[in-house]
Amino acid sequence: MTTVARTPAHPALERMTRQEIQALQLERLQRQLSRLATTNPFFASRWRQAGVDVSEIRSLDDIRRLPVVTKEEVLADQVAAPPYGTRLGVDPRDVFELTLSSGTSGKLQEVHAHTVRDAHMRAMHGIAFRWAGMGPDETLVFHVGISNSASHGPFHRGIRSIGRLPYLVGHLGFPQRLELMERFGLDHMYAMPSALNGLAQLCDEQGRPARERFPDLRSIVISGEGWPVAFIERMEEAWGARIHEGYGASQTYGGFVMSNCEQGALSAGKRNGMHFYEWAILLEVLDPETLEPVAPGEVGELVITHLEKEASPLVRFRTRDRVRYMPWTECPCGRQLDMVESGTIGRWDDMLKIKGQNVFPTEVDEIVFARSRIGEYQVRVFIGDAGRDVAEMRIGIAQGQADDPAVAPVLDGLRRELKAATNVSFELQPVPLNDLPQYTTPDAKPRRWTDERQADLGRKE
Amino acid sequence: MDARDQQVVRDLKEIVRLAGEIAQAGGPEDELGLRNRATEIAAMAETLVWLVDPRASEWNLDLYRAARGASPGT
Repeated sequence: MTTVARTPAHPALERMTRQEIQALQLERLQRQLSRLATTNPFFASRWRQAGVDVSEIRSLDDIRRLPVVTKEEVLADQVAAPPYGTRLGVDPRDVFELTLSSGTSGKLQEVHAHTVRDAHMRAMHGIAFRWAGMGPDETLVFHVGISNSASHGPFHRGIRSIGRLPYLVGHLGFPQRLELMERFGLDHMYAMPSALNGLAQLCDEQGRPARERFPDLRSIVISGEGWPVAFIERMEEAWGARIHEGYGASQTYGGFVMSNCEQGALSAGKRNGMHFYEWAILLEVLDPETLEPVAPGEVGELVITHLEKEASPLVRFRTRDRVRYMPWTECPCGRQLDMVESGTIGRWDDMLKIKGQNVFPTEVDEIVFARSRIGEYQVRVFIGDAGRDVAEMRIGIAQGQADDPAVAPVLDGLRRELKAATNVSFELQPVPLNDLPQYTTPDAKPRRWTDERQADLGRKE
Repeated sequence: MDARDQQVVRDLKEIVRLAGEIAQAGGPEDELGLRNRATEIAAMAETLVWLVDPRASEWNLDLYRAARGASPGT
Protein backbone atom coordinates (compact mmCIF):
# COMPACT_ATOMS: atom_id res chain seq x y z
CA MET A 1 0.00 0.00 0.00
CA THR A 2 1.13 3.54 -0.67
CA THR A 3 0.19 6.81 0.93
CA VAL A 4 -2.02 8.66 -1.45
CA ALA A 5 -4.02 11.48 -2.11
CA ARG A 6 -6.19 13.94 -0.37
CA THR A 7 -9.00 13.02 -2.74
CA PRO A 8 -8.76 9.43 -3.97
CA ALA A 9 -11.57 8.62 -6.38
CA HIS A 10 -11.22 4.91 -5.76
CA PRO A 11 -8.95 4.10 -2.81
CA ALA A 12 -8.53 0.38 -3.52
CA LEU A 13 -7.17 1.17 -6.97
CA GLU A 14 -5.20 4.29 -6.20
CA ARG A 15 -3.26 2.84 -3.29
CA MET A 16 -1.84 -0.06 -5.30
CA THR A 17 1.92 -0.33 -5.50
CA ARG A 18 3.60 -0.37 -8.90
CA GLN A 19 4.10 -4.11 -8.52
CA GLU A 20 0.41 -4.67 -7.71
CA ILE A 21 -0.68 -2.53 -10.67
CA GLN A 22 1.54 -4.47 -13.06
CA ALA A 23 0.37 -7.83 -11.68
CA LEU A 24 -3.24 -6.73 -12.20
CA GLN A 25 -2.46 -5.55 -15.73
CA LEU A 26 -0.82 -8.84 -16.67
CA GLU A 27 -3.70 -10.90 -15.29
CA ARG A 28 -6.32 -8.80 -17.09
CA LEU A 29 -4.26 -8.68 -20.29
CA GLN A 30 -3.98 -12.48 -20.39
CA ARG A 31 -7.71 -12.78 -19.75
CA GLN A 32 -8.50 -10.31 -22.55
CA LEU A 33 -6.11 -11.90 -25.07
CA SER A 34 -7.39 -15.38 -24.32
CA ARG A 35 -11.00 -14.25 -24.96
CA LEU A 36 -10.20 -12.31 -28.13
CA ALA A 37 -8.15 -15.15 -29.63
CA THR A 38 -11.32 -17.25 -29.78
CA THR A 39 -14.11 -14.69 -30.18
CA ASN A 40 -12.73 -11.71 -32.10
CA PRO A 41 -11.98 -12.42 -35.79
CA PHE A 42 -10.13 -9.12 -36.28
CA PHE A 43 -7.47 -9.84 -33.67
CA ALA A 44 -7.49 -13.65 -33.96
CA SER A 45 -6.52 -13.48 -37.65
CA ARG A 46 -3.83 -10.84 -37.09
CA TRP A 47 -2.22 -12.80 -34.30
CA ARG A 48 -2.36 -15.99 -36.33
CA GLN A 49 -0.69 -14.24 -39.27
CA ALA A 50 1.98 -12.89 -36.92
CA GLY A 51 2.58 -16.41 -35.61
CA VAL A 52 1.79 -15.41 -32.02
CA ASP A 53 0.13 -17.81 -29.61
CA VAL A 54 -1.40 -15.58 -26.92
CA SER A 55 -0.93 -18.26 -24.27
CA GLU A 56 2.78 -17.49 -24.57
CA ILE A 57 2.27 -13.88 -23.38
CA ARG A 58 3.64 -14.32 -19.86
CA SER A 59 4.86 -10.80 -19.01
CA LEU A 60 3.87 -7.23 -19.81
CA ASP A 61 6.99 -6.96 -21.97
CA ASP A 62 5.70 -9.90 -24.04
CA ILE A 63 2.94 -7.65 -25.37
CA ARG A 64 5.51 -6.34 -27.84
CA ARG A 65 5.31 -9.70 -29.61
CA LEU A 66 1.78 -8.75 -30.71
CA PRO A 67 1.48 -6.64 -33.86
CA VAL A 68 0.42 -3.01 -33.55
CA VAL A 69 -2.88 -1.94 -35.11
CA THR A 70 -3.38 1.26 -37.10
CA LYS A 71 -6.36 3.50 -37.72
CA GLU A 72 -6.22 2.47 -41.39
CA GLU A 73 -6.62 -1.22 -40.44
CA VAL A 74 -9.58 -0.41 -38.19
CA LEU A 75 -11.25 1.59 -40.98
CA ALA A 76 -10.60 -1.14 -43.58
CA ASP A 77 -12.24 -3.67 -41.25
CA GLN A 78 -15.29 -1.41 -40.93
CA VAL A 79 -15.56 -1.12 -44.70
CA ALA A 80 -15.32 -4.90 -45.10
CA ALA A 81 -17.88 -5.65 -42.38
CA PRO A 82 -20.05 -2.55 -41.82
CA PRO A 83 -20.96 -0.86 -39.61
CA TYR A 84 -18.79 -2.08 -36.73
CA GLY A 85 -16.15 -4.26 -38.40
CA THR A 86 -15.22 -7.76 -37.25
CA ARG A 87 -13.43 -6.07 -34.33
CA LEU A 88 -16.83 -5.67 -32.63
CA GLY A 89 -16.48 -9.18 -31.20
CA VAL A 90 -19.89 -9.30 -29.46
CA ASP A 91 -23.51 -9.79 -30.54
CA PRO A 92 -24.59 -6.50 -32.24
CA ARG A 93 -27.67 -6.57 -30.00
CA ASP A 94 -25.30 -6.03 -27.06
CA VAL A 95 -24.21 -2.62 -28.39
CA PHE A 96 -25.46 -0.13 -25.81
CA GLU A 97 -23.59 3.05 -26.85
CA LEU A 98 -21.35 4.21 -29.66
CA THR A 99 -18.46 6.61 -29.92
CA LEU A 100 -17.71 8.01 -33.36
CA SER A 101 -14.34 9.62 -33.97
CA SER A 102 -14.52 13.27 -34.95
CA GLY A 103 -13.28 12.52 -38.48
CA THR A 104 -13.41 15.03 -41.28
CA SER A 105 -15.39 15.27 -44.47
CA GLY A 106 -14.25 12.75 -47.03
CA LYS A 107 -12.75 10.47 -44.41
CA LEU A 108 -14.37 7.60 -42.56
CA GLN A 109 -15.14 7.87 -38.91
CA GLU A 110 -13.98 5.11 -36.61
CA VAL A 111 -16.84 3.34 -34.84
CA HIS A 112 -16.28 2.22 -31.26
CA ALA A 113 -19.14 0.20 -29.78
CA HIS A 114 -19.72 -0.27 -26.06
CA THR A 115 -21.70 -2.91 -24.18
CA VAL A 116 -23.58 -1.79 -21.11
CA ARG A 117 -20.67 -2.93 -18.91
CA ASP A 118 -18.27 -0.96 -21.13
CA ALA A 119 -20.57 2.04 -20.77
CA HIS A 120 -20.36 1.89 -16.99
CA MET A 121 -16.60 1.32 -17.13
CA ARG A 122 -16.53 4.63 -18.97
CA ALA A 123 -17.57 6.26 -15.70
CA MET A 124 -13.89 6.16 -14.77
CA HIS A 125 -13.82 9.42 -16.74
CA GLY A 126 -15.09 10.91 -13.46
CA ILE A 127 -11.75 10.26 -11.78
CA ALA A 128 -10.41 13.47 -13.34
CA PHE A 129 -13.09 15.51 -11.60
CA ARG A 130 -12.59 13.85 -8.22
CA TRP A 131 -8.86 14.43 -8.43
CA ALA A 132 -9.66 18.05 -9.29
CA GLY A 133 -11.47 18.24 -5.94
CA MET A 134 -15.12 17.63 -6.79
CA GLY A 135 -17.28 16.18 -4.01
CA PRO A 136 -20.58 14.27 -4.19
CA ASP A 137 -22.78 17.30 -3.41
CA GLU A 138 -20.97 19.72 -5.71
CA THR A 139 -22.09 21.01 -9.10
CA LEU A 140 -20.16 20.93 -12.34
CA VAL A 141 -20.96 22.83 -15.51
CA PHE A 142 -20.05 21.03 -18.71
CA HIS A 143 -19.42 23.24 -21.73
CA VAL A 144 -19.97 20.71 -24.51
CA GLY A 145 -23.13 19.78 -26.39
CA ILE A 146 -24.23 16.13 -26.50
CA SER A 147 -23.23 14.12 -29.56
CA ASN A 148 -21.73 10.74 -30.46
CA SER A 149 -18.35 11.92 -29.18
CA ALA A 150 -17.10 11.41 -25.63
CA SER A 151 -19.58 14.08 -24.52
CA HIS A 152 -22.34 11.47 -24.60
CA GLY A 153 -21.51 8.67 -22.17
CA PRO A 154 -18.25 9.25 -20.33
CA PHE A 155 -18.70 12.88 -19.39
CA HIS A 156 -22.26 12.61 -18.16
CA ARG A 157 -21.89 9.21 -16.49
CA GLY A 158 -18.41 9.99 -15.17
CA ILE A 159 -19.28 13.40 -13.74
CA ARG A 160 -22.47 12.07 -12.15
CA SER A 161 -20.57 9.17 -10.57
CA ILE A 162 -18.50 11.71 -8.64
CA GLY A 163 -20.67 14.81 -8.22
CA ARG A 164 -23.71 16.64 -9.63
CA LEU A 165 -24.46 17.73 -13.19
CA PRO A 166 -27.95 19.17 -12.76
CA TYR A 167 -28.13 21.44 -15.82
CA LEU A 168 -26.64 21.53 -19.31
CA VAL A 169 -25.19 24.52 -21.18
CA GLY A 170 -23.22 23.05 -24.08
CA HIS A 171 -26.07 23.61 -26.56
CA LEU A 172 -26.21 27.36 -25.81
CA GLY A 173 -24.27 30.44 -26.86
CA PHE A 174 -21.76 31.91 -24.41
CA PRO A 175 -24.05 34.71 -23.07
CA GLN A 176 -26.84 32.24 -22.24
CA ARG A 177 -24.34 29.87 -20.60
CA LEU A 178 -23.12 32.61 -18.28
CA GLU A 179 -26.71 33.46 -17.34
CA LEU A 180 -27.49 29.84 -16.38
CA MET A 181 -24.24 29.52 -14.45
CA GLU A 182 -25.20 32.56 -12.36
CA ARG A 183 -28.74 31.33 -11.88
CA PHE A 184 -27.98 27.79 -10.72
CA GLY A 185 -24.41 28.16 -9.47
CA LEU A 186 -21.34 26.00 -9.93
CA ASP A 187 -18.37 24.67 -8.01
CA HIS A 188 -16.43 23.10 -10.91
CA MET A 189 -16.34 23.42 -14.67
CA TYR A 190 -15.23 21.50 -17.76
CA ALA A 191 -14.39 23.39 -20.96
CA MET A 192 -12.14 23.11 -23.97
CA PRO A 193 -9.30 25.68 -23.68
CA SER A 194 -10.76 27.81 -26.49
CA ALA A 195 -14.15 27.97 -24.76
CA LEU A 196 -12.52 28.79 -21.44
CA ASN A 197 -10.74 31.72 -23.07
CA GLY A 198 -13.87 32.87 -24.92
CA LEU A 199 -16.02 32.80 -21.78
CA ALA A 200 -13.42 34.73 -19.79
CA GLN A 201 -13.18 37.34 -22.55
CA LEU A 202 -16.97 37.70 -22.62
CA CYS A 203 -17.04 38.20 -18.84
CA ASP A 204 -14.45 40.98 -19.24
CA GLU A 205 -16.36 42.59 -22.11
CA GLN A 206 -19.51 42.58 -19.95
CA GLY A 207 -17.54 44.37 -17.23
CA ARG A 208 -17.80 41.49 -14.75
CA PRO A 209 -14.57 39.50 -14.62
CA ALA A 210 -15.03 35.73 -14.29
CA ARG A 211 -13.41 35.39 -10.87
CA GLU A 212 -15.75 38.01 -9.40
CA ARG A 213 -18.81 36.66 -11.18
CA PHE A 214 -18.26 33.03 -10.07
CA PRO A 215 -16.58 33.23 -6.67
CA ASP A 216 -17.55 29.64 -5.74
CA LEU A 217 -15.74 28.11 -8.71
CA ARG A 218 -12.91 25.92 -7.38
CA SER A 219 -11.61 23.84 -10.27
CA ILE A 220 -11.66 23.70 -14.04
CA VAL A 221 -10.91 20.57 -16.07
CA ILE A 222 -9.81 21.00 -19.69
CA SER A 223 -8.88 18.63 -22.50
CA GLY A 224 -8.60 18.41 -26.25
CA GLU A 225 -5.80 20.86 -27.05
CA GLY A 226 -2.21 21.53 -26.09
CA TRP A 227 -1.55 24.71 -24.17
CA PRO A 228 1.27 27.04 -23.21
CA VAL A 229 2.14 27.52 -19.54
CA ALA A 230 1.29 31.23 -19.79
CA PHE A 231 -2.24 30.39 -20.99
CA ILE A 232 -2.97 28.25 -17.94
CA GLU A 233 -1.52 30.89 -15.60
CA ARG A 234 -3.66 33.56 -17.28
CA MET A 235 -6.84 31.44 -17.10
CA GLU A 236 -6.25 30.46 -13.46
CA GLU A 237 -5.92 34.16 -12.67
CA ALA A 238 -8.99 35.09 -14.75
CA TRP A 239 -11.25 32.44 -13.19
CA GLY A 240 -9.71 32.26 -9.72
CA ALA A 241 -9.64 28.45 -9.91
CA ARG A 242 -7.04 25.75 -10.37
CA ILE A 243 -6.92 24.13 -13.81
CA HIS A 244 -6.57 20.38 -14.35
CA GLU A 245 -6.22 18.47 -17.61
CA GLY A 246 -7.60 15.14 -18.79
CA TYR A 247 -6.82 13.14 -21.92
CA GLY A 248 -9.11 10.83 -23.83
CA ALA A 249 -9.82 9.85 -27.41
CA SER A 250 -12.43 7.93 -29.35
CA GLN A 251 -10.18 4.89 -28.98
CA THR A 252 -9.89 5.13 -25.17
CA TYR A 253 -13.42 4.03 -24.25
CA GLY A 254 -14.29 7.48 -25.64
CA GLY A 255 -13.39 9.02 -22.31
CA PHE A 256 -10.46 10.09 -20.17
CA VAL A 257 -7.79 7.49 -19.47
CA MET A 258 -5.42 9.88 -17.75
CA SER A 259 -5.61 13.15 -15.86
CA ASN A 260 -3.80 15.42 -13.44
CA CYS A 261 -4.09 14.56 -9.76
CA GLU A 262 -4.57 17.16 -7.00
CA GLN A 263 -1.40 18.86 -8.21
CA GLY A 264 -3.26 20.33 -11.19
CA ALA A 265 -1.85 21.09 -14.61
CA LEU A 266 0.93 23.33 -13.30
CA SER A 267 3.01 23.64 -10.16
CA ALA A 268 5.04 26.84 -9.81
CA GLY A 269 5.06 27.40 -13.55
CA LYS A 270 6.14 23.84 -14.34
CA ARG A 271 4.02 21.33 -16.25
CA ASN A 272 2.77 18.38 -14.19
CA GLY A 273 1.96 14.92 -15.53
CA MET A 274 -1.35 13.19 -16.20
CA HIS A 275 -1.58 9.82 -14.43
CA PHE A 276 -2.72 6.86 -16.57
CA TYR A 277 -5.79 4.93 -15.38
CA GLU A 278 -3.67 1.81 -15.66
CA TRP A 279 -6.11 -0.55 -13.99
CA ALA A 280 -8.29 -0.59 -17.11
CA ILE A 281 -5.98 0.33 -19.94
CA LEU A 282 -2.39 -0.48 -20.79
CA LEU A 283 -0.56 2.50 -22.28
CA GLU A 284 2.77 2.22 -24.04
CA VAL A 285 4.89 5.22 -25.11
CA LEU A 286 6.93 4.00 -28.07
CA ASP A 287 9.44 5.36 -30.53
CA PRO A 288 7.30 5.61 -33.70
CA GLU A 289 10.12 4.27 -35.88
CA THR A 290 11.44 1.37 -33.78
CA LEU A 291 8.28 0.70 -31.69
CA GLU A 292 10.54 0.32 -28.65
CA PRO A 293 9.63 2.08 -25.34
CA VAL A 294 11.07 5.57 -24.92
CA ALA A 295 13.03 6.60 -21.84
CA PRO A 296 11.61 8.94 -19.17
CA GLY A 297 11.45 12.50 -20.49
CA GLU A 298 11.50 11.41 -24.12
CA VAL A 299 8.77 11.93 -26.68
CA GLY A 300 7.00 8.93 -28.20
CA GLU A 301 3.73 7.68 -29.65
CA LEU A 302 0.92 6.60 -27.35
CA VAL A 303 -0.18 3.00 -28.01
CA ILE A 304 -3.24 1.68 -26.18
CA THR A 305 -4.60 -1.72 -25.13
CA HIS A 306 -7.98 -2.19 -23.46
CA LEU A 307 -7.84 -4.57 -20.53
CA GLU A 308 -11.55 -4.58 -19.66
CA LYS A 309 -13.47 -3.73 -22.80
CA GLU A 310 -16.06 -6.20 -24.09
CA ALA A 311 -17.09 -4.63 -27.44
CA SER A 312 -14.77 -3.12 -30.09
CA PRO A 313 -11.63 -3.77 -28.05
CA LEU A 314 -8.24 -2.47 -29.12
CA VAL A 315 -4.93 -4.20 -28.56
CA ARG A 316 -1.80 -2.17 -29.30
CA PHE A 317 -3.58 0.58 -31.23
CA ARG A 318 -1.29 3.32 -32.54
CA THR A 319 -2.99 6.61 -31.62
CA ARG A 320 -0.46 8.77 -33.56
CA ASP A 321 -0.59 11.04 -30.49
CA ARG A 322 2.81 12.48 -29.60
CA VAL A 323 3.40 12.48 -25.84
CA ARG A 324 6.26 13.04 -23.42
CA TYR A 325 6.61 10.10 -21.01
CA MET A 326 6.98 10.78 -17.28
CA PRO A 327 7.40 7.97 -14.72
CA TRP A 328 5.15 8.00 -11.64
CA THR A 329 8.10 8.89 -9.43
CA GLU A 330 8.02 12.45 -10.77
CA CYS A 331 4.74 13.23 -8.98
CA PRO A 332 4.63 13.75 -5.19
CA CYS A 333 1.00 12.55 -4.84
CA GLY A 334 1.97 8.94 -4.09
CA ARG A 335 -0.04 7.23 -6.81
CA GLN A 336 2.23 4.78 -8.58
CA LEU A 337 0.61 5.43 -11.94
CA ASP A 338 2.84 6.48 -14.83
CA MET A 339 2.20 9.76 -16.62
CA VAL A 340 2.65 11.89 -19.70
CA GLU A 341 3.39 15.58 -19.59
CA SER A 342 0.40 17.91 -19.46
CA GLY A 343 -0.32 20.35 -22.25
CA THR A 344 2.13 19.03 -24.83
CA ILE A 345 0.18 16.21 -26.49
CA GLY A 346 0.26 16.68 -30.24
CA ARG A 347 -0.15 14.59 -33.37
CA TRP A 348 2.68 12.89 -35.25
CA ASP A 349 0.45 13.25 -38.31
CA ASP A 350 0.33 17.02 -37.84
CA MET A 351 4.02 17.65 -38.33
CA LEU A 352 4.68 19.76 -41.40
CA LYS A 353 7.93 20.17 -43.25
CA ILE A 354 8.14 23.86 -44.16
CA LYS A 355 11.22 25.18 -45.93
CA GLY A 356 12.93 21.96 -44.88
CA GLN A 357 12.16 22.47 -41.19
CA ASN A 358 10.01 20.15 -39.02
CA VAL A 359 7.20 22.27 -37.58
CA PHE A 360 4.85 20.89 -34.92
CA PRO A 361 1.57 22.83 -34.60
CA THR A 362 1.47 22.27 -30.83
CA GLU A 363 4.78 24.09 -30.54
CA VAL A 364 3.32 27.00 -32.50
CA ASP A 365 0.14 26.92 -30.35
CA GLU A 366 2.29 27.39 -27.29
CA ILE A 367 3.99 30.47 -28.71
CA VAL A 368 0.86 32.09 -30.15
CA PHE A 369 -1.49 31.52 -27.24
CA ALA A 370 1.00 32.80 -24.69
CA ARG A 371 -0.15 36.24 -25.92
CA SER A 372 -3.40 37.32 -24.28
CA ARG A 373 -4.44 39.63 -27.15
CA ILE A 374 -4.53 36.70 -29.58
CA GLY A 375 -7.69 34.58 -29.43
CA GLU A 376 -7.20 32.24 -32.40
CA TYR A 377 -5.06 31.69 -35.48
CA GLN A 378 -5.02 29.93 -38.84
CA VAL A 379 -2.01 29.00 -40.97
CA ARG A 380 -2.03 28.44 -44.72
CA VAL A 381 1.10 26.88 -46.22
CA PHE A 382 1.40 27.29 -49.96
CA ILE A 383 3.96 27.70 -52.73
CA GLY A 384 4.55 31.40 -53.40
CA ASP A 385 5.33 33.19 -56.64
CA ALA A 386 9.05 32.60 -56.13
CA GLY A 387 8.37 28.86 -56.02
CA ARG A 388 9.17 28.61 -52.33
CA ASP A 389 7.10 27.62 -49.30
CA VAL A 390 5.13 30.44 -47.71
CA ALA A 391 3.57 30.13 -44.24
CA GLU A 392 0.83 32.73 -43.87
CA MET A 393 -0.62 33.09 -40.40
CA ARG A 394 -3.90 34.93 -39.79
CA ILE A 395 -4.00 36.19 -36.24
CA GLY A 396 -7.41 36.67 -34.57
CA ILE A 397 -7.44 39.83 -32.47
CA ALA A 398 -10.32 40.43 -30.05
CA GLN A 399 -13.16 42.66 -31.16
CA GLY A 400 -12.26 46.36 -31.20
CA GLN A 401 -8.54 45.79 -30.62
CA ALA A 402 -7.34 45.21 -34.19
CA ASP A 403 -6.32 48.89 -34.59
CA ASP A 404 -4.91 49.20 -31.09
CA PRO A 405 -1.29 50.47 -31.36
CA ALA A 406 -0.29 47.93 -28.72
CA VAL A 407 -0.98 45.09 -31.18
CA ALA A 408 1.98 45.83 -33.51
CA PRO A 409 4.68 45.09 -30.91
CA VAL A 410 2.84 41.88 -29.96
CA LEU A 411 3.03 40.74 -33.58
CA ASP A 412 6.69 41.72 -33.87
CA GLY A 413 7.53 39.66 -30.81
CA LEU A 414 5.47 36.76 -32.10
CA ARG A 415 7.24 36.83 -35.48
CA ARG A 416 10.66 36.73 -33.80
CA GLU A 417 9.74 33.93 -31.40
CA LEU A 418 8.21 31.78 -34.14
CA LYS A 419 11.35 32.19 -36.24
CA ALA A 420 13.59 31.29 -33.30
CA ALA A 421 11.56 28.19 -32.43
CA THR A 422 10.88 26.81 -35.92
CA ASN A 423 13.47 28.48 -38.16
CA VAL A 424 10.57 29.46 -40.43
CA SER A 425 9.53 33.06 -41.15
CA PHE A 426 5.75 33.36 -40.86
CA GLU A 427 3.87 36.11 -42.69
CA LEU A 428 1.52 37.50 -40.03
CA GLN A 429 -1.80 39.06 -40.86
CA PRO A 430 -4.04 40.42 -38.05
CA VAL A 431 -7.78 39.86 -38.58
CA PRO A 432 -10.88 40.25 -36.36
CA LEU A 433 -11.24 37.22 -34.10
CA ASN A 434 -14.74 36.49 -35.41
CA ASP A 435 -13.34 35.94 -38.92
CA LEU A 436 -11.66 32.73 -37.77
CA PRO A 437 -13.24 29.37 -36.83
CA GLN A 438 -13.69 28.85 -33.07
CA TYR A 439 -12.95 25.45 -31.54
CA THR A 440 -14.97 25.04 -28.39
CA THR A 441 -16.15 21.42 -28.38
CA PRO A 442 -14.41 18.03 -28.77
CA ASP A 443 -16.41 17.58 -31.99
CA ALA A 444 -14.68 20.61 -33.46
CA LYS A 445 -11.07 19.52 -33.11
CA PRO A 446 -8.79 22.44 -33.90
CA ARG A 447 -7.77 22.41 -37.54
CA ARG A 448 -5.69 25.51 -37.74
CA TRP A 449 -3.30 24.41 -40.48
CA THR A 450 -3.95 24.00 -44.21
CA ASP A 451 -1.27 22.71 -46.53
CA GLU A 452 -1.99 23.68 -50.14
CA ARG A 453 1.42 22.82 -51.56
CA GLN A 454 0.48 19.58 -53.30
CA ALA A 455 -2.41 21.30 -55.07
CA ASP A 456 -0.09 24.22 -55.92
CA LEU A 457 2.43 21.83 -57.42
CA GLY A 458 -0.34 20.22 -59.46
CA ARG A 459 -1.30 23.60 -60.89
CA LYS A 460 2.29 24.64 -61.58
CA GLU A 461 3.34 21.50 -63.39
CA MET B 1 -8.65 -5.95 1.02
CA ASP B 2 -10.26 -5.52 4.44
CA ALA B 3 -13.40 -7.24 5.75
CA ARG B 4 -15.63 -4.30 4.82
CA ASP B 5 -14.44 -4.33 1.20
CA GLN B 6 -14.92 -8.10 1.02
CA GLN B 7 -18.51 -7.71 2.25
CA VAL B 8 -19.13 -4.93 -0.30
CA VAL B 9 -17.91 -7.19 -3.10
CA ARG B 10 -20.13 -10.07 -1.89
CA ASP B 11 -23.15 -7.73 -1.75
CA LEU B 12 -22.46 -6.35 -5.20
CA LYS B 13 -22.08 -9.84 -6.66
CA GLU B 14 -25.47 -10.71 -5.18
CA ILE B 15 -26.94 -7.64 -6.88
CA VAL B 16 -25.44 -8.79 -10.19
CA ARG B 17 -26.96 -12.24 -9.72
CA LEU B 18 -30.41 -10.92 -8.78
CA ALA B 19 -30.41 -8.31 -11.56
CA GLY B 20 -29.51 -11.07 -14.01
CA GLU B 21 -32.49 -13.12 -12.85
CA ILE B 22 -34.81 -10.13 -13.12
CA ALA B 23 -33.49 -9.40 -16.61
CA GLN B 24 -34.52 -12.92 -17.63
CA ALA B 25 -37.91 -12.77 -15.92
CA GLY B 26 -39.75 -11.28 -18.87
CA GLY B 27 -38.56 -13.98 -21.25
CA PRO B 28 -37.37 -13.46 -24.83
CA GLU B 29 -40.13 -10.89 -25.55
CA ASP B 30 -39.50 -9.02 -22.28
CA GLU B 31 -43.20 -8.83 -21.49
CA LEU B 32 -42.51 -7.16 -18.13
CA GLY B 33 -40.28 -4.48 -19.66
CA LEU B 34 -37.50 -5.24 -17.20
CA ARG B 35 -34.65 -6.55 -19.30
CA ASN B 36 -32.69 -3.46 -20.27
CA ARG B 37 -32.83 -1.70 -16.93
CA ALA B 38 -32.08 -4.88 -14.97
CA THR B 39 -29.14 -5.58 -17.28
CA GLU B 40 -27.90 -2.06 -16.64
CA ILE B 41 -28.21 -2.55 -12.87
CA ALA B 42 -26.12 -5.72 -13.22
CA ALA B 43 -23.49 -3.88 -15.28
CA MET B 44 -23.34 -1.00 -12.85
CA ALA B 45 -22.89 -3.39 -9.92
CA GLU B 46 -20.24 -5.33 -11.83
CA THR B 47 -18.21 -2.19 -12.46
CA LEU B 48 -18.54 -1.24 -8.79
CA VAL B 49 -17.06 -4.67 -7.98
CA TRP B 50 -14.19 -3.69 -10.29
CA LEU B 51 -13.60 -0.49 -8.31
CA VAL B 52 -13.24 -2.36 -5.03
CA ASP B 53 -11.57 -5.57 -6.23
CA PRO B 54 -10.77 -5.50 -9.96
CA ARG B 55 -9.72 -9.16 -10.00
CA ALA B 56 -13.20 -10.18 -8.88
CA SER B 57 -14.96 -8.44 -11.76
CA GLU B 58 -16.08 -10.59 -14.68
CA TRP B 59 -17.28 -10.18 -18.25
CA ASN B 60 -21.08 -9.73 -18.48
CA LEU B 61 -21.43 -11.30 -21.94
CA ASP B 62 -23.14 -14.47 -20.66
CA LEU B 63 -25.55 -12.34 -18.65
CA TYR B 64 -26.63 -10.43 -21.80
CA ARG B 65 -27.21 -13.72 -23.65
CA ALA B 66 -29.19 -15.16 -20.79
CA ALA B 67 -31.31 -12.02 -20.55
CA ARG B 68 -32.25 -12.43 -24.21
CA GLY B 69 -33.40 -15.92 -23.49
CA ALA B 70 -30.46 -17.71 -25.06
CA SER B 71 -28.45 -20.11 -22.98
CA PRO B 72 -24.99 -18.93 -21.90
CA GLY B 73 -22.30 -19.68 -24.43
CA THR B 74 -24.61 -19.71 -27.47
